[in-house]
Amino acid sequence: MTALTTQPRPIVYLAGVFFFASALFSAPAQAEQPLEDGPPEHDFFFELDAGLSWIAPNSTQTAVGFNMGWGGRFGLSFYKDYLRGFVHVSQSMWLRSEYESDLTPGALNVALGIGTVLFRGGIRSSIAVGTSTLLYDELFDDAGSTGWFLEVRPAGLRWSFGNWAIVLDPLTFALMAPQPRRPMPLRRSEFATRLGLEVML
Amino acid sequence: MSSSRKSAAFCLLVSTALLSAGHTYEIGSAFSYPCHESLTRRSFDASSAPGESLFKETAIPLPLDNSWSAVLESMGKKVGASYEDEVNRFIAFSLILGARFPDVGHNSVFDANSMHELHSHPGAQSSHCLRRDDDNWAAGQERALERCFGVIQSGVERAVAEYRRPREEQLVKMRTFVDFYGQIDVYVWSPAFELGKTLHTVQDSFSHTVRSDDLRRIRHVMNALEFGPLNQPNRDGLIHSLEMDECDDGAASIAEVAVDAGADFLRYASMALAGDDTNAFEPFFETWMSYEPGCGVDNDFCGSKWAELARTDPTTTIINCSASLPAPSHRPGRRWIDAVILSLWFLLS
Repeated sequence: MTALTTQPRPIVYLAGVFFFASALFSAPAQAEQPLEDGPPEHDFFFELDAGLSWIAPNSTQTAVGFNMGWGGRFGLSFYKDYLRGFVHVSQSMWLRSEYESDLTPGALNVALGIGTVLFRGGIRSSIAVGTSTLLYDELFDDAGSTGWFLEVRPAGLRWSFGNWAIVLDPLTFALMAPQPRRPMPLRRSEFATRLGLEVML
Repeated sequence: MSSSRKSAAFCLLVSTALLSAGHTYEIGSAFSYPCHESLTRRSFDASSAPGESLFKETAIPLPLDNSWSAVLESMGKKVGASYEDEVNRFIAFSLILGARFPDVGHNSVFDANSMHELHSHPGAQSSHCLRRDDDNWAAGQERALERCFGVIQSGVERAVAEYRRPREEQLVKMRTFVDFYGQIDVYVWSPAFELGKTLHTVQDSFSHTVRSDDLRRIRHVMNALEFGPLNQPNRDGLIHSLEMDECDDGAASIAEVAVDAGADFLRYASMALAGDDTNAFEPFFETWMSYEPGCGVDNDFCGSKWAELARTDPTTTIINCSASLPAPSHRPGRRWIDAVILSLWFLLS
């Protein structure tokens, strides 16, 4: 059998170009503001978001996989928001589909991350690394099994309204492995779209 | 070639290319009922008296690694394989995994590429008791049936050959796909696994043929490859019916008889194993697989009461070139699922 390849897809490039373009076009409105009116040197921020994913290739075979989840980030921004450090907490719930349908509690991910906000608040990027903990008893692993977690949010769109901002990450990539050891590792990768609300405290 | 014929040819091409997974009795998934699995389990239960095991004379080895047990659990309550006796559970698991195998192989149900390869290849049709695309007219139908019977006969022979191996070598690792872990290796009892694969073909010989009223004799073999508008039922065979693949509703009474036939199959197969004689299997063919020639589309399959059901909900594609099909699909849910799966397939290919 031929497993699906992991080559980049044209549609991914197109989506990337589209979202970068839309961010660039939205940036000038904010660029007209004097720099002095921008964010302060240091500030705390807090964010809540939710996401949906329907492609989850695993370690051995590409397959459709449905996931949904929520998450929160709390951290400090530096240098007028050009650099951010934060604590990331998220839950990824996995839909069982091979034999029957069942939404499982999935995994709880706790991580530390850094990020940046570019184009005068129009686009943000971040990366987070931490742990992933299984929240339920799966076929070969018990709840509490803990491994590693990595999430990359390459380009999220951000619309500011005073201290508040709506954030949309069209495509994020997460790798979570609550049980990374062979012979039967529990590893999962997710391509998700996330929508959230951010507040500068 | 006229434009209408070009359109029809294009539709046929696209229809063939987009043949989606599982045009047999359904197998279990998030979106489908585990027909093959539950029919297999019920046949196994019916093949012996309550409290007894079909292979009771056999010293069946149990693997130390019990991953198979967890996989059986994950198949869910609809399959209903709950046995107190560990040996019976292991036999049931091996049979059920075998019965899924012709439909999914080692892959995920949602791996559209692999499913397409498994189901659209002409050589795979005989495992589902279906015609190949060159099985035309009555002669082609008889060829298709001979291949179907051949799959059943050779399946029993493979089971006997596996049974002749030393006891410890009868435990073999089989690669299968489970949620979140992907492909894993689990142990099966190889004679039962082979019988499960063959039982799949026996079951499909009920859902993919038009039979006599008592369901003992086969009158017509259907076609799941040529289901576009160019299909001529007299030549190509009736288009595969999605309704016949259901093991409930109108096709429930057929499924009930398929359970009985499956139980008979397992009884005769166990005799073949015990007696080392595949000829012990002949009565099964005489009882359930005899062919009644002279019954076709023109005479409504010699007046079979299953003819109307066999014409219901023929296989089609999400691209609607089905104006000339005998009856349009009335399952918007299934089309929606097909649309999602095929969209993903295009996206990922």
